[in-house]
Amino acid sequence: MRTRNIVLAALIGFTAVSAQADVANAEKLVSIYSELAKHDNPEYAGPTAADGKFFFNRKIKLGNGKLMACASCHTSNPADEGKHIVTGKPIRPLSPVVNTKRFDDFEKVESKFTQHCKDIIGSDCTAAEKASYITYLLTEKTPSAKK
Amino acid sequence: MSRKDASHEYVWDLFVRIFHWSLVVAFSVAFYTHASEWDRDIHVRAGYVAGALLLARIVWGLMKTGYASFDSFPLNPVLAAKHMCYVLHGNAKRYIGHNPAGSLVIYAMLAFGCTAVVSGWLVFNEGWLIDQPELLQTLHQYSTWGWLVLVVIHVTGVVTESVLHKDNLIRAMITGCKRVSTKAEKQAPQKIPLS
Repeated sequence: MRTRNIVLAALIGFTAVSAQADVANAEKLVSIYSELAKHDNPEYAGPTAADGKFFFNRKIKLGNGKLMACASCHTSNPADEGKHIVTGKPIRPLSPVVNTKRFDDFEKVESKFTQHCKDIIGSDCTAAEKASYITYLLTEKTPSAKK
Repeated sequence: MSRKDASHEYVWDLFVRIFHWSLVVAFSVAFYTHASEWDRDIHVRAGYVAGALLLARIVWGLMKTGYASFDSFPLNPVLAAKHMCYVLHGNAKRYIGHNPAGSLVIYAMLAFGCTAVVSGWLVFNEGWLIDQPELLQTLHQYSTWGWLVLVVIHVTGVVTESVLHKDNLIRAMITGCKRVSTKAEKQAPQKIPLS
């Protein structure tokens, strides 16, 4: 755990120096999470958009019996605006390609991941899952045509 | 305990007491539900209730409402600091309403409470009026955590004064009555509404 924290601190320091408000930040987060995943499992093969897409659309059964996926609020196209399933409020696009304010700060992203993963899955997601998740989001570049 | 009891004075009117405990409930609910997306509707409603309560309290404070009126507990940081010195030296004057240090905390709570409600409202209606989601979220977080710090100071003050003046201020916020022992304290009792 301690070495993991050192790796993390070093990587965050690196991103802080070179922080920019474009997809470079999201790409950097992918490399941070990949490093962490490698640290947890030396045989980790790296993130894939396919894993991320599966994770994004995977329906998880909640305690109240409802089925929920990331896509439930963010829609099946993360380049589109989403809609909060409880409040009905609009959610800005999740894809960092469309919305460059997304995935630009490690601490913020980490706290959102933890919060959302706990809300839906019941525990925090793994670094490997997070790496693939952002990798997938980086591939969603085109908002759906307006109906 | 009768309001006409010579050793007690009716200080906190019915509105103030209902406001006080409703605000305790509203903020507790909002705090308990702040982290989960599932509770977002409850959190927002609790915030709106808190906002309505604070607004009503401000209106009440601007009216001639005895000890509840802002006139009866002016904002005076110098006097508040002096009062704290007296408290530490053990010779603080007793105030029937808010003491100067308590008043300062009350005004801070009103300010932080209103900031928390307004910033929360703007966070919820993202992009509306002020399109700075991150700034608003930060403001909402700082104002609510600041509010909690103020609650701790408020409760510490209440307990301290209860011990120093051998009175139960928590009970006073339930019954509305405070113990009055000396002649000086009995002087110039204020006209309290809803009594």
